[in-house]
Amino acid sequence: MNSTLRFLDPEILSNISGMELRARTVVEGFLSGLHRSPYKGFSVEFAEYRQYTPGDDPRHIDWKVYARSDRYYVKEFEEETNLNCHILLDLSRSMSYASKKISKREYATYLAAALAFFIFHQRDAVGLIAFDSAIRTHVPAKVRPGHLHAILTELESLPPGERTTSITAPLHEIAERLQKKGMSILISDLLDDPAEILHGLEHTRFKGHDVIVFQILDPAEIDFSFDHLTRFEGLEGEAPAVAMPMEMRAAYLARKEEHLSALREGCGVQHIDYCLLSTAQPLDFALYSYLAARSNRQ
Amino acid sequence: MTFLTTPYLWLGLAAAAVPVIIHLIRRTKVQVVQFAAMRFLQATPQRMIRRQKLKQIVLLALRILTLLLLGLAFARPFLPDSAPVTILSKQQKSIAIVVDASASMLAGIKSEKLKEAAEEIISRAGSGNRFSIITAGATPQIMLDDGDAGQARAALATIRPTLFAGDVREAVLAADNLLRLQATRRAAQPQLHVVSDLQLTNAPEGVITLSSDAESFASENIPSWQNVVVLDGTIEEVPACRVKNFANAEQLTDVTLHLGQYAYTRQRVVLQIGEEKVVQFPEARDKMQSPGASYFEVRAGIDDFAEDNRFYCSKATASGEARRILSITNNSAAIFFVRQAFSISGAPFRLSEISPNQISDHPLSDFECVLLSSGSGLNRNAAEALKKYVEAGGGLLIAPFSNAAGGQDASTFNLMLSDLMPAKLLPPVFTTVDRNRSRRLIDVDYSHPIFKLFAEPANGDPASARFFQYFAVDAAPRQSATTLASFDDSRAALIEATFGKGKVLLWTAGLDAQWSDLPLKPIFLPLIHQIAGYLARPDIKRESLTIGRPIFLDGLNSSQEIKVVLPNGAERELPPRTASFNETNQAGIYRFYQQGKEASFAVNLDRRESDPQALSPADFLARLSRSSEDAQVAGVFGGAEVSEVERERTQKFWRLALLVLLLLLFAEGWLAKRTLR
Repeated sequence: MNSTLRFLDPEILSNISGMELRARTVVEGFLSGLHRSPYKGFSVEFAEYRQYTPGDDPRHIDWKVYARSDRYYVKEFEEETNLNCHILLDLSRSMSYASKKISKREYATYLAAALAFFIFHQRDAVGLIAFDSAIRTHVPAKVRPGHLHAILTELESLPPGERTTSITAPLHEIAERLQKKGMSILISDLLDDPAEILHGLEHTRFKGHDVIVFQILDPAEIDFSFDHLTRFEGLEGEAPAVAMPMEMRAAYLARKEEHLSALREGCGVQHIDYCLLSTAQPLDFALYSYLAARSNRQ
Repeated sequence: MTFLTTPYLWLGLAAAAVPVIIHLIRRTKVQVVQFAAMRFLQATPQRMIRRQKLKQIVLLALRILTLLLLGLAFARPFLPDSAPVTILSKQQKSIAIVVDASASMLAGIKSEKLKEAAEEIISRAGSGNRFSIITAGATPQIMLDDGDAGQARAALATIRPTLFAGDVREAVLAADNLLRLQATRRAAQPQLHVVSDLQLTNAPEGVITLSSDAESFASENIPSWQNVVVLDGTIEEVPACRVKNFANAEQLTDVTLHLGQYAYTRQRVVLQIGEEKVVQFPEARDKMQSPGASYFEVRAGIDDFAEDNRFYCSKATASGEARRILSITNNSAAIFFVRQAFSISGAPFRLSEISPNQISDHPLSDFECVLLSSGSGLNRNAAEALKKYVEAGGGLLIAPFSNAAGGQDASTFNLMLSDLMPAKLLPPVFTTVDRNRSRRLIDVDYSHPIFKLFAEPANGDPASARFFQYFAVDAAPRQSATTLASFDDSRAALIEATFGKGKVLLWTAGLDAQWSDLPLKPIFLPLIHQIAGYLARPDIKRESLTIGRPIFLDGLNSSQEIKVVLPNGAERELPPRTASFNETNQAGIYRFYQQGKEASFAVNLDRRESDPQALSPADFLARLSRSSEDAQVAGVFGGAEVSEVERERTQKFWRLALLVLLLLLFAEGWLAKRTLR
């Protein structure tokens, strides 16, 4: 991992105090790794000329100016907000699981902060909805200065989640609450009945929202890397189970794969971008996924 | 089952407790995990958990067993009383068995007992091994070299006791040499077995150094045997003999003097345990003084060993003989003048001549003085024989032949006889013989027995001889060396040194007329006689001849053929001037006839074979040493402590333990992979 990308490692980010700084670190680190300017701009109002730098889209070069001055200049436009983006953050108790240093909730919070920072600096309106069995925090999507700070402050002071097993109800509630069409980014472990989750997402889609789903799982949940005889106790009040991981691993992985496939296929059917993230993965992977989804929407 | 090194077993037992303790500590610890993805998880059925617990117990047992086996292997277990287990010692063995074939084997059933012992060794070793059979008689005889068990048994069957005194040392060395040669041909575990009654009188003196790393075993003692022996006899004055009781009980025995085939007189004697008595026959005195009677026979005792119950005595063996000088040379010309000096009428010397490569075949101890003038053909064995001879009290005169090969001879002497040489020979002082340039003997030690005679000028002047060429010697001779005579250039002419009980003289100018005119001077003859007389062993015994020793035919030197009548009545013809008769392989009277002259010689069994006292196998093996320090420790049959080593070595249960341990480790690894921790 090079020196820039090092800061996209969630474990390193956890050592940085301040959500804004974390978000800035992630986004600037991510941007410095890109070769193509991510700022395309959606408005048409001319702002100023700027000397062309490698990475700028050649489409924005002003050829008339080139003909006069023999220099490349790109036209910059005053961007205007045309997107309302809501980050939907799952606070349920299952998100607090961590086999290593970073829990799924911490990872999700960093991701939410990074996305908010990124979207805000694209001059899009960004909002935050945190929920467990119900909506716990709602920061509406705005683009005014200081709004980002409000979101990041909120992310830092989110309440602990309830021991709930269902996120369907809050999804329906969110779908009802979001009136203006825009983009919804769901960050959750989605450890619920896939059909019900998809039903909730369908509701959101029905309301005209583009939806991106980030499913966050711990590495231990992905590959079930236990070897001792273990008594597993559910974080959301499930009945405990004594299991020999070596004997049960195959069945676990099959069930997990079945669950993920159902979600992946369901999202595909509903034109929802789905991305599975491990808490061991750097955050830039999530940002790439976001950018890819944004490109598809254009 | 018994163990050779029990502490290792206890260590193994202690180590076996470790996995039990670990198992007990970890047994109850079930990991508890707060988990989120419970919807994917299925509880393991109790049946599977029970199976896992069973696997854990089996795994624990395997680990305990592994450690126990490790301790067991290091403890080197063996079965104390069962037959040796050879299935684990697959390496082929080269087994050399030295079987005593000396005359004492004729006593009772000893010969059969020894053969049974040898048979047992063959059976114990098994059929996959190679065997060599060597008999220990007067000289070692290889009956079988590297054969199988069947051939070994066949060779054993052909072994018959001889009438010679046994030489176990030489036989052991011969067997050792065989094993060493076999080791160069193939990889095999060498073993040396000595099957002998280990008679103390025939026991090897000093330490025998083996060149192979053979494990060595000596047979356990043969049960003691009863023996009354006629030790010797004399025909001087009053015919008499000595008898001794070697039995472990008082013996009443008749001692009979036989003349020819008839018992002439008899005496009854009582011998206590170990008692020796002189029995005289005064009534036979007059009879033996008569001209026709030249020998008699004494018989005594009826016991396990009949061969030593007879003693033969003849006038020829009892009378004084000429001193026997042995000349060792390849060149007859080198000792021409010496031969003449010894062969003059009435000279008290008898000269025999052999070449250096015949030294090993001749018993040097039969000669009172040895003259060595050729180095060509002198090998290590010959040098060793000369060394032993001098060490035991023999006299040796080294006088390199003064010819072109003399320089080469000197080099050989320096190399082969470095221990014996009074000083190292250097190249000759003059490269050519120039009659106009000579040296004389000036500095002579007239107080020395050799030159004492010449202190009187009338007996000759050593300075009269002229020396044209001679060997220079090392300026720093041996510590014990003394220069007895020097030339006028201060270089040594005659140097003396002692080695063991014997004496060595080095004459630097040769005893022929090429390098000096000494042989042509009147002083030569008395000087040679003086030297021979000085070197002759003063302690040599005028004993009766024993079987295997040559009879020197001193008085029968005419040009007629010699007829010999052997003790069994057989007759032989010998060529004229035969110096010695060597086929003395039976006890009795040997009669020689030539031109009306008759000489009778009595040949008897070597009385060293009569003493039943024996070495213990452990004492015998203690006299064996090996050139390599890491060679195996000798084992002994019958010795309690050492036989355990031998038993363990032949059974090798530790290999089985390690093999099982290896299998267990594989099983443990396989099961551990399938068992939940």
